[in-house]
Amino acid sequence: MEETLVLKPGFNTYTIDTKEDLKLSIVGHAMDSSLYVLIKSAKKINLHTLFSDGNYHILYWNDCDFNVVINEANELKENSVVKVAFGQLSMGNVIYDSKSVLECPNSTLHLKTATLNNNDKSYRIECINSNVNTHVEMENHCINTEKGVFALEAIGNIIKGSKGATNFQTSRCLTFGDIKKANISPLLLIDENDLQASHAASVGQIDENQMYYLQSRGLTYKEATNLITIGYLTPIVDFIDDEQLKELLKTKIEDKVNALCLI
Amino acid sequence: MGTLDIRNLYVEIEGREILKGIDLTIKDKEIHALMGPNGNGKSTLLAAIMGHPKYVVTNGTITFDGQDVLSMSVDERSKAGLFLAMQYPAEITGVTNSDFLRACLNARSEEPIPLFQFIKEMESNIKKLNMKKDLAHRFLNEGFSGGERKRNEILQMRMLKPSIAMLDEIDSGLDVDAIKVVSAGLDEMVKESNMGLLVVSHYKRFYQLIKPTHAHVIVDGKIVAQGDYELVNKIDGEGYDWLYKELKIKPKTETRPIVYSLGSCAVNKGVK
Repeated sequence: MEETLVLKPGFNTYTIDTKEDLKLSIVGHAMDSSLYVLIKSAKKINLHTLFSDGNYHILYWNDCDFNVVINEANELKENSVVKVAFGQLSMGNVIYDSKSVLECPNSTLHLKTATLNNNDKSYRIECINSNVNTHVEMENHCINTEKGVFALEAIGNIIKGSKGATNFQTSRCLTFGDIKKANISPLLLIDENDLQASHAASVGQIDENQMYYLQSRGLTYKEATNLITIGYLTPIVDFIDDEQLKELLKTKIEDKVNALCLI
Repeated sequence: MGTLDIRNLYVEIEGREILKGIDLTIKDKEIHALMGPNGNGKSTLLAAIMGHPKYVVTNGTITFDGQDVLSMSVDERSKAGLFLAMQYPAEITGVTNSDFLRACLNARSEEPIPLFQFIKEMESNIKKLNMKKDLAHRFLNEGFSGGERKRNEILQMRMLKPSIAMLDEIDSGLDVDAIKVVSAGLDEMVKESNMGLLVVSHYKRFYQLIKPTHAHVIVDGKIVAQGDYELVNKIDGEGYDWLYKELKIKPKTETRPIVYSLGSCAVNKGVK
């Protein structure tokens, strides 16, 4: 199945509910627009986006508990400021392969993922600066439960000639079980000398000092854990400007954290 | 009502004995100043009372209104009415100040606090402490300046209304005006809700403003001198030397790890 979604100014929504393979193209040109894509049911999704001249916010929310493969290709043309977020609390195995290319001068990409993983999830996210004054910021947050296996390869790639480019990435994984079951590989491939780039990655259990601090204000061990865990994932809902939707997603995160992060 | 009673307290951290037999009683409305040179056990005492997991009590008792504090978990101590304003409060990303405070207030009452009442109370306290308005919606201590962190500790204290509050160098990082605002707020709580205070500070200015009723000097894990506001004044004027001479004691000096130089750059060597 193949579909094309041409964005309108303002808030757009789209629901993926299919048992077939889906190829979805999203196009945005000369406007300010935001899009919420709810994945209710899917097997394999190929996403292709094309943005130019404008501000675009997209939040993909994987709400299905089946095994899904998601391939994403983002193309950023001139003067585009794009925020793409991918969130899931899915109880299925998910492969997420995302590649973004900043092809033209003066484009900015902010890419963010938030994951609560109780199964097997594997991400490969690559952001390529291939022209001058292109800016990338990547943030990944994952909570890996005792049962979860999580692998993330986060790649910043700066092509020769991309002067004035920036490429920053941060990936954090909070683990409730064996920390060896979560693996983050941060990579920076740089072929230019006029640029700024950084990577940071951490995998670990909840910080003892944070727990002590929250408990010293009267929160029980479980209450403190929940607050930290929920705080790890909820900032992703700020990628979308719809208050009702924000509340709905926050509640989903809270319920799932309460159900899965028992210690 | 609220009496914190510490008897013959011994505390160690990572096998090192820091406190060596502390006796101290704090009642409500009393303001106790805890003094002494750095690295001699002041912060350790506060952390041990609050129940920091790294501080192990090896001997002695702490009771609060007759309840055994040492058998309580950290959150139970807080709910019982103890509060510690920390020197280095933790940063917690994703948790806003207001969500956090509401969770804390709800944790200590049967009924959740009505949202309207909570916002009103929080806003009035933020105003009283001269804090920025957006602070309620920022992540807990993340990106806060030194002064903002300290004020945020005081904000929490005002919202949680403890019976006994312990302040660990709360004045450091505050400018003169902020110190005035914070001490006025403390004074109000002592007078209105009979709060007792245990304060660690090195600054005369702060002590002048809060006027301690009791003073204690800790040297090498023991209380070596006790008195009232006069003692604070004397130490501020003359330092601790007279005390060391009079009592024939030596303070514990902080030991720092020694850094050895390799003499040359390892990378260079490798290249050659």
